[in-house]
Formats: sequence, structure tokens, C-alpha cells
Amino acid sequence: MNIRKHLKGQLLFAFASMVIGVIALVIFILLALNGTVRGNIFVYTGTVAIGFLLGGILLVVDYFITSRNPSRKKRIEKQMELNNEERKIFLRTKSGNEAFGFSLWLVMGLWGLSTLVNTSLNTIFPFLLGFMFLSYLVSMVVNTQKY
Amino acid sequence: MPPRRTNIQNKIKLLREQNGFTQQDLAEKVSVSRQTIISLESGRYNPSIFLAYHIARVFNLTIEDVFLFEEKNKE
Repeated sequence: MNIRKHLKGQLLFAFASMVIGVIALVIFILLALNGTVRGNIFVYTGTVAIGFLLGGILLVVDYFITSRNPSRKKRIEKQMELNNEERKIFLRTKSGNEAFGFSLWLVMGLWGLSTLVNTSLNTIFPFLLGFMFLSYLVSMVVNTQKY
Repeated sequence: MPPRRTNIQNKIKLLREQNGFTQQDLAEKVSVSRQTIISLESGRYNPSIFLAYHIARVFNLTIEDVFLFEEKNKE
């Protein structure tokens, strides 16, 4: 992928983020106008609106800075090339597979546990998401040292 | 036929130093990171045939001159 294609993709992603952010913001405002200022949906839409809008705006700013700076463009292009080198692809694939394997065992274990102690899996899911991310990170660190 | 395990050793460090290249120089010549060169030199990572070919080409040698394949019968 060349830098022009990368920047175009970044701009598209930024606009998509902002569209999601605006939709969430509209829902958030409608909820506020209706007096629904409490509850999960209010917090959720507010967080999505702020996160996606801010992320989208920052990506657009980065797009304009990068497109006007040739040395930055060259640096990103080099970084993109290095990110796709074979060892990094190998490390990402191996770590992803390991994290998936660990998570699969954890899901099976938690499912069994939730049945035994009669708890909803909803309370366990956030922990599971965190574990998946953490196990990928740990696998990546270990494999980077190993290979 | 018993299964065979292949060990790969290489002379990258020796050849690099003989040619006066730093790890960064060699990394740039074959479009990989310096960490990859470090891993290759220490024998922790085995390269693909394409990377092995590119490295051999930098030293004007063949793959067999740079990488030493040892076949061992699995006990």
C-alpha cells in the first residue's frame, strides 16, 4: 500500500468515525431532551459520541498535517513497509493464535463456572475482553523476545 | 523413513562485518527492521526463502553460502 492510498483510507475512516459520532451525539441529545439523563444507554451514547467525534477530528487534522509534510510522509511510508515485514507478520499471527487459544479455554472455563455458580455471563464479558487484549499483548512481548 | 529436523545456521554476522555493514545498513538493504537482523544473527528467527535470497544477494553469494542447513534424524 502506498502513502496516498493510506492517507485516503485514513480520511475515509475519519469521516466514518465522525458520522458514527454525530449519530451518537444526536441520540444523546434526544435522550437528554426527553429527560433520560441516567442509565447505561445515556452513558454509552455519550461516550461513543465523544470518542468517535474526537478520534475522527484528530485523524482529519493528522491527514492535513501529513499531506503537507513530505518528510513525515516518507517516514510513515517507511514505517508501513517495516510493519509488513515477514518477522512482524509472523509475530502478529503467532501472538493472535495464542491469544485466541487462551481465550477459548477461558471462555469454556467461565461458561462452566457461570453455570455452576448460576451467574450471568454479562458480568464476565468485560473481564474476558480485557483478558483477550492482555493475552495478545503478553504473547507479543514473549514472542518478540523469543524470535 | 524417520522424520528429519532441519537446523539452520547462518553466517550473516560474519559476512556483514567483513563487508563493513552495520545491522541498520543490512536491514535497509533488505527492507526489514534492525530487530529482524538481530534475530537472524542470533539464530532465533529463520527467514523465508525470499529474505534469505535477498540477504545472499547483498553479499553476492548464494543462499547455501550464507545459510547452513543441517539435517538431523529425530531420535
